[in-house]
Amino acid sequence: MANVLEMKGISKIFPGVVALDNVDFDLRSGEVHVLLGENGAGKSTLIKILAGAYVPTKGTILIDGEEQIIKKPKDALELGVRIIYQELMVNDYISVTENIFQGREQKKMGLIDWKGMHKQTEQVLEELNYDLNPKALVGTLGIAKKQIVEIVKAVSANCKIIVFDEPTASLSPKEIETLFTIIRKLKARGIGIVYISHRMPELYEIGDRVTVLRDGKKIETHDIADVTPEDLVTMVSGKKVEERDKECFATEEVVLKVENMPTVLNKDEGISFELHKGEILGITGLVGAGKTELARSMCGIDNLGPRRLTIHGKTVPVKSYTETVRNGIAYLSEDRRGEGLVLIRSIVDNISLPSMEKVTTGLLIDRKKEESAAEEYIDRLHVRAPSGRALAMNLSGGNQQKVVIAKWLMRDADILIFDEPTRGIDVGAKEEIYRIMFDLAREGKAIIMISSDIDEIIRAADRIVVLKDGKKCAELADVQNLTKDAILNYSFGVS
Amino acid sequence: MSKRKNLSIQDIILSYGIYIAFAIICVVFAVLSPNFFMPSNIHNILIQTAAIGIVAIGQTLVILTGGIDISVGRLMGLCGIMIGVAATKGVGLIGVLIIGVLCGLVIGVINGFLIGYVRIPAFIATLGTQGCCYGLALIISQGMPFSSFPDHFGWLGNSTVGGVSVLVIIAVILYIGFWIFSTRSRTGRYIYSIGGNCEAVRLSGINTAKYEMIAYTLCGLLAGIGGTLMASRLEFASPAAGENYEMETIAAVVIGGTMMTGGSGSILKTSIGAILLYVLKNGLTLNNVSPYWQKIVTGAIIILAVTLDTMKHKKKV
Repeated sequence: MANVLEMKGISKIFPGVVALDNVDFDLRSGEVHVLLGENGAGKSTLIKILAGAYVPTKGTILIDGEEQIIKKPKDALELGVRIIYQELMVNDYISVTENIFQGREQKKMGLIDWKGMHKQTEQVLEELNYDLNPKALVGTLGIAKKQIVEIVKAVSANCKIIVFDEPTASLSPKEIETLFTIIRKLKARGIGIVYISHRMPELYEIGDRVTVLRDGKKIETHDIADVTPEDLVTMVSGKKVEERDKECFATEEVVLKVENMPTVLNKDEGISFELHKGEILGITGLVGAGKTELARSMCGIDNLGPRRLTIHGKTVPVKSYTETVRNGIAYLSEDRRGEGLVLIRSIVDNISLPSMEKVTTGLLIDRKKEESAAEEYIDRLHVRAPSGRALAMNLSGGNQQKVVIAKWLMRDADILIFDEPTRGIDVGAKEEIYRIMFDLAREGKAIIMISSDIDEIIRAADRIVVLKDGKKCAELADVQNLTKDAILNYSFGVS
Repeated sequence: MSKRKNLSIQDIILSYGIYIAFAIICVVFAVLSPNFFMPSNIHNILIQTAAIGIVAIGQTLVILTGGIDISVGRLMGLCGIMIGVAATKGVGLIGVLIIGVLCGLVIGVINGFLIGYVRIPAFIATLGTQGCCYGLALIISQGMPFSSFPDHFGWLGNSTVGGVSVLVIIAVILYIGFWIFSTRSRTGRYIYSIGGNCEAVRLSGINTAKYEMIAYTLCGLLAGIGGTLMASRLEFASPAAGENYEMETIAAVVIGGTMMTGGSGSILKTSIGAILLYVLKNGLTLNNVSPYWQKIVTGAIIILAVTLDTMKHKKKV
């Protein structure tokens, strides 16, 4: 197979930071080349250089063996490079076809040739064996279908290289399967695919080769069949990650009793479960099963009419999230940047935000008290930042998550609801987040861990509740002896 | 993340551009007209700035939350009319002042409720109350201006203490007070954070609607104070007053470097923005530049200020 892309000796130096240091990367046509590395390892920088968003400080890029200079995004598009970002770049207010042909609309006798374009869209969809109405408004489609729209857009423009950035982050297992079928079809067409993901099993299913980056340097490139996941984790983190047996700190004491909690998905028949002190309760299910909806309902973030919670044996109505927080419950959103942090404020400001009462003396905030209180958690959770005054936006995903956790520890929350706690976080930092959760459980906090990553649920939870279509379909103890397939069967309603 | 410590000329221009422009403008005016730097002229500029400057404090609070209040201009006008009616009906000085400020407070509460709790976009809600304020002013005044205020009414706007105008003293006190409020109080911190990411603040267990309402209420209150002081200084109130004043307050906020998207900025810098606006007006008038051209110069300064800010933020990212 010929190399469709060669990046040689790529370096990118930002003022004071070497983001990429002499990195080589090549891509064959018709292969899936996985790019693996921690956040900040240089994956995004490398992709941004390929996309024309950054100009490399040093190095050459060859496409189909010819040296090319990519100075702006338009150059990359013209060379047949397409990036499908995690945040999809589709326009919700126009049709599938319009999205696909945006910027290169075809004309017939001076007018836009809708018929012809619809037909071409259908043709590509047919080749990919995917059923989608070209006239549908993109805003009405789910994330999985929007992603397909982006793929079709790339294919219909005859692209040579597609970069997928965390494409499965928001997809259900079934949707992932469909995506992989399509990726295999793209391979057959000779398109070179760069695949960025943190989900290890997925990489083995779809990847051909893997390149690991660490601290801006290329570590190694391998055929994926030749390396074990453990090897990859070691390469990514640079240190051996010891597998640690999960200890269970759950006690008999029930701290939270949820009875018949309605969700947006199912207002009539609610969900019930109990949470014990020191326990990590995993809540899993496919996308759309109602995991986040359940958390938002019981916390009072979504308003769904009268409902109750029993906290430490006391039954209280769910009034507002402010009230819920006062009762010691905290919800840590899956969308850290959008809902968890005020990115343009400092780490300290973010940590103290829910606890301003604690650091206010009289009418004014006691800055020294605020800073020392926040610093305590920064140290304890090992938030890596130049100082507490650094802005939250400049932190990596893992460190941002730690800041969110610190917020609620300072607020003395004793029931913590983590929604997708490690989404978008690199392998090494994931372990760190689990360890923090274990420590909190040991201290006697009760934790609900919502996750669609079943490996993660098995890794960290003491007990598992499986949701399906807004209903509880299984409650499983004895997690150590559970298999992934068993849980998936409940999720799909197979068993 | 840039770790570079030494500032390049470009950085200096981007960070302090508006102050440099301010200094250059002052020097040019001083050279062109010897009267410009006379203490009496500077005092005069500050007196002219005071009322708008006070209202701009409220506008800063609102813009920091990521909102906007375009009702403040007409609200100032309405407060003037309310005072006019009260004064002619024989209400005493203190009563008149309370009525003016209260009028601003009430409209501020309405704005805050509509935006914080009913969730109407700020621009639309305050566009609505702007119209209502104007209409009310016309109805109450029957379209006629008031100029027959009792003698003591002008005291507040026209007397001095130790040679400094009472108006300016009030403005300075309010600026310092609200600066401390915005940077050191809990509510101030929430106001900044809401502008940075409202959802994150809500999911921190904070009742964001309440604090948005507080911002608009304070904005209305300050517009009431500004409107009252302006009527007192001019000893004149007209239903037509206040037109476009909201734009001047927004200009002062933006020239001062507060981001229109909220979350970042400073009340003290707004004072610089407000003074710069009136320095321009004053200097251009001293040099016999026609008011028509003055508008163009003011417009250009606003664009320059925002351009520098945009470039600065682009560079950060």
